[in-house]
Amino acid sequence: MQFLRRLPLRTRVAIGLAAALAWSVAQAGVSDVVNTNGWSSFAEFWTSVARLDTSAEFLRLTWESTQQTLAFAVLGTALAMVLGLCFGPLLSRRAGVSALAYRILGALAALPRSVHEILIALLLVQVFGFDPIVAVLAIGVPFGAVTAKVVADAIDDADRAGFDALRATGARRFTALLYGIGPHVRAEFVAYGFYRLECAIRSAAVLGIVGVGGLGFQLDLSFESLRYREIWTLIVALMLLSGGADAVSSAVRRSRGSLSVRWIALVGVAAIGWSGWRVGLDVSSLWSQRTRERLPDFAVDLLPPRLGPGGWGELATATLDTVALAILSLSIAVAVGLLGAVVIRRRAGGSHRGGVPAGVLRFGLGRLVLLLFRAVPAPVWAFLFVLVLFPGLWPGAVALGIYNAGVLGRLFAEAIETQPEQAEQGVELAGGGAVARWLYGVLPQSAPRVLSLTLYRGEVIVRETIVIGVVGAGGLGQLIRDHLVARDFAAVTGVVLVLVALAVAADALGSALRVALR
Amino acid sequence: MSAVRRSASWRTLIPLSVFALAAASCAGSDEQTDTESSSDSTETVTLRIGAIPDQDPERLQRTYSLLSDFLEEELGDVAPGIEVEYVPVTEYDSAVTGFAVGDLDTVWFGALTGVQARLSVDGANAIAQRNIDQEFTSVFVARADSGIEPIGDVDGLTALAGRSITFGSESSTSGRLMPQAFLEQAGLDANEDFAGAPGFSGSHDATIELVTAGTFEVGAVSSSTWDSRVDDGVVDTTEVIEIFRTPAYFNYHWVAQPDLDERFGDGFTEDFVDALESLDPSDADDAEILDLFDAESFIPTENENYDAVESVGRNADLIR
Repeated sequence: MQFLRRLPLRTRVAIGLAAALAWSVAQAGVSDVVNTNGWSSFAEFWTSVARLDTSAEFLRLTWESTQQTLAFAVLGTALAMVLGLCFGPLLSRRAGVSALAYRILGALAALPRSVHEILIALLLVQVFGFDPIVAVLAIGVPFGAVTAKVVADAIDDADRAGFDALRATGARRFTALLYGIGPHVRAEFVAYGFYRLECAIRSAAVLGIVGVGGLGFQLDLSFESLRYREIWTLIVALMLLSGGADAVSSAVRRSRGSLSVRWIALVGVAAIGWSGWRVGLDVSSLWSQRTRERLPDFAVDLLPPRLGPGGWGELATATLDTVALAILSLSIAVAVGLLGAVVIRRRAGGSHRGGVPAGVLRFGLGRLVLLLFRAVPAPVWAFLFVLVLFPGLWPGAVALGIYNAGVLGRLFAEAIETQPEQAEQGVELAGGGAVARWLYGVLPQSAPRVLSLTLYRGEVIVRETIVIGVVGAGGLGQLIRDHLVARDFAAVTGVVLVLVALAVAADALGSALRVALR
Repeated sequence: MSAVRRSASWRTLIPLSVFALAAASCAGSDEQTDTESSSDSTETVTLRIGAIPDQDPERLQRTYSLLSDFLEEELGDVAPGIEVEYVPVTEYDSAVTGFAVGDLDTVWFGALTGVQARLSVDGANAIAQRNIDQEFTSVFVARADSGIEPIGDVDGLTALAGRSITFGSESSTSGRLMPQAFLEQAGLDANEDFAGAPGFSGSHDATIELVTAGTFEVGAVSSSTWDSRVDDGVVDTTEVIEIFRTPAYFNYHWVAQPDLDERFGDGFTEDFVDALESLDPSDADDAEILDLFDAESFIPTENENYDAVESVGRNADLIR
C-alpha cells in the first residue's frame, strides 16, 4: 500500500478505475454470458432493416405515434421550463431569499433529479391511472429540477452590475432580477430549453415502454411479437424525430446571440397548445376527486419504506450489481463513443483523408450509427441483446453502453472539434500515422473535456440503470420491478432510497474526481 | 416538428387548443356527474374492459374488438347506449394497476393477477371463467434438438437442471408462478439451477417464439395457448416439442369492479356473466370469439376458486 501512495495521483486514479472495471466484470460473471443459440433471431433483426414495414396502415400508426411522442416531449419540456423559472431564482445564492431556504430547496431539488423519469411514471400511474398527465409530470418534474439548478447557476454567474444598480435604486429583488439579469441569461435559457426538448424526446420514447402511448409503446408491442420489420419502421421514425431535434437544438445553440426570443415564445405557445390537444391533456385530473382519494391512499402504501422479502442480503447484492452495471455501461459507452468520435469528427480544414467520397461516406455512416444508438431507447436495446446474452447484467450493460455511446460519441466529437489543431498537424508533419496523431496530437489536449463529459455521463448512467432493470436486466431496477409486480410499494420506496443515495454518491465521486484530475 | 412547419397557422391553433382543453375538462366533469347520478339517462356510458397481455398483441386486439361489439349489443338492454371500449396494456401489472385505480371496469386476468387485483379493490369479485380454466395446466416445451426427453412426473423435472429457461411474464400464473412452483416441488430453484438467470419473455407467444428460435432451450407456457398454436399449425412441432404437462389448477377469469351495478344499472354484473354464458359455439360469430379464447364456453366462477393459487403466490412473494 505504501508504494501506491508514492505514485502520481493520476496513476492511482487509473489503477483504481482498472480495479473497479475488473471487479465489475467479475460481478457480472464470465461464464454463461453469450447465448449462441440466439444468433439467428439477432441476425434476423439486423437483416430486417432492408425490409421495413411500409404498409400504409403501419405508416399511419407510426406517424400518429411520432406526433404523440413529440407532444409529450413538448409538454414535459414546457413544464420543466416553467418549474425552472419559478424555482431557479430561489435556488440562486444571489437572488435567494435566505440561506436556510436556499439549503432546504437545494436538497429538495436534488431528490427528483436522482430518480429516473421511468420510475416517477411507474409511481404516478398508481395515482392518475392511464392519464397523459403522468408522462408530462414524469418528464417535467425531474427535468424542472435540473433546469432550476441551471437557471440558478446562470443567475449567479451572470454579470451583476445591472442587478446591483437596480437594487441600489430601490428596486425589489424580483424586479432587479427580471431587468438586471434576465437579458443576460435569456438566450442561454432558450438554447437550454431546446437541449431539454432533445432529451425529452428520448425520455418520452422510454416512457412508452411503461405504457404511455407513442413510439416507445409501439416498439414494445412490436417487440413482444418479434415483428422486426415493424420495429425498424418505428426506429427510423425515432431517428428522424431525435435527429431533427438534435439538429434544431444544435442550430439554436450556435446562433444563440441572434435569437428572436419573442418569436420562439410564440411558436412555443402554439406547440404547447397543439401538444395538449394531441394527447388529450386535461390538467383537472391533478385535483379530480379520484386523485384526492388515491393520493393519500397511495402515500400510505409507499410509507414507511421497508425491506423486500429478500432482506438486506438481496438489497446489498442488487446494489453491488447496479454499481457493476453502471461501471460496465460507462466503460462500453466511453470505448464505443471514442471510436465513434474518431469516425465522425470534422476537421477544421474540412478535408477528409482518403478522398472526399470515402470520407463523406464514413462520416455520414458514423453519424447515422451514433444516432441509431441514442435514438433507440435503452430498454429496447436490452430486449435485443437478451437474444444473444443470457439474462443478467451483461445484456443490460451492453444495452446501456450502446445507448450512451450514441450520446457520448456526438459530445466527444463536438469537444474535439473545438480544440485547436496545431499539435495534431505537428505530429502529422513529423510523419506520425493515424494512431500517433490521435494519441499525441488530439487526445492530450481534449482529455480534460472528454473526462468531464465522461464523469457527467457516469452520473447519468447510475440513474439510468433503473431503466434497464425494469425490463429484467438485474440490479436495483430489477428489484423495483419485482416489488412493483408484487404491488409492494413500501419495498419500492426502500429501494428508491438506496438509489437516491447511490446517485448522490456518484455525484460526489464525480465532483471529487473532477477536482483531483484538474 | 410539425408545430414549427405549421407555424403560419399558430394563431388558429391557440384558440382551438384552448377550446379542446376546455371541452376535455368539461367532458371529464360530465363523466363524474354521470357516475354519481343513476344510469337510467340515455347518455352513452362506457364500460372499459382490459386483459393481461398474455398473447400476441394483434390477436388480443382482434379478440377484444369482437368481444366489445358483442357485449355492446348484449348489454344494451340493461344499460341503453352502452359503449364497450378495450384498453390495451403492455404489461400484466399494468392491467392490475388499471383495475386498482378504476380505469378498467372488468378485466380478463390470470389467477395470480386476479387475486392481486381483488386485493387492491375492496369488494371486487371474480365473476366468470372459461370451461377450461377449472382444470388448467402449464406445458414445458423444449427445442427438439436440445436432447431433452419427455418427462413423466413432477419429480422428473430435475432433468432440466443446467438448461436455459424462459418464463412468460413475471406475473403470469401458467407461464411463471405454477411452473416455478412445480420446479420447486421437484427440488429446482429457478434462479440457481439453470444456465444463466431465467428469462421473462412477456407473453406465451413470445416464449414459444424464443424457444423456437433457440434463444432458450426450455420454455414454460399456458397449455391453452400451446394447444391452440399447435392446432393452428403456427408451431413447428418438429422444432419445438412438449416435454411435460403439469397437474391442474384454476386459472383465467373475469374480475369486476364492485360498483358496476351502481354505475350501469341494477343486475349489470349478472348480465355481463349471462352475456358471456350465452356465447354459443354453434353460432358462427360467437364461435369465432370462443375460438379466440380457446374455449368451448364461459361459466360463472367465485373468489374461493383462487385460494390455492393465492397461497402459492404468497409463497413465491408475488403476493405480499
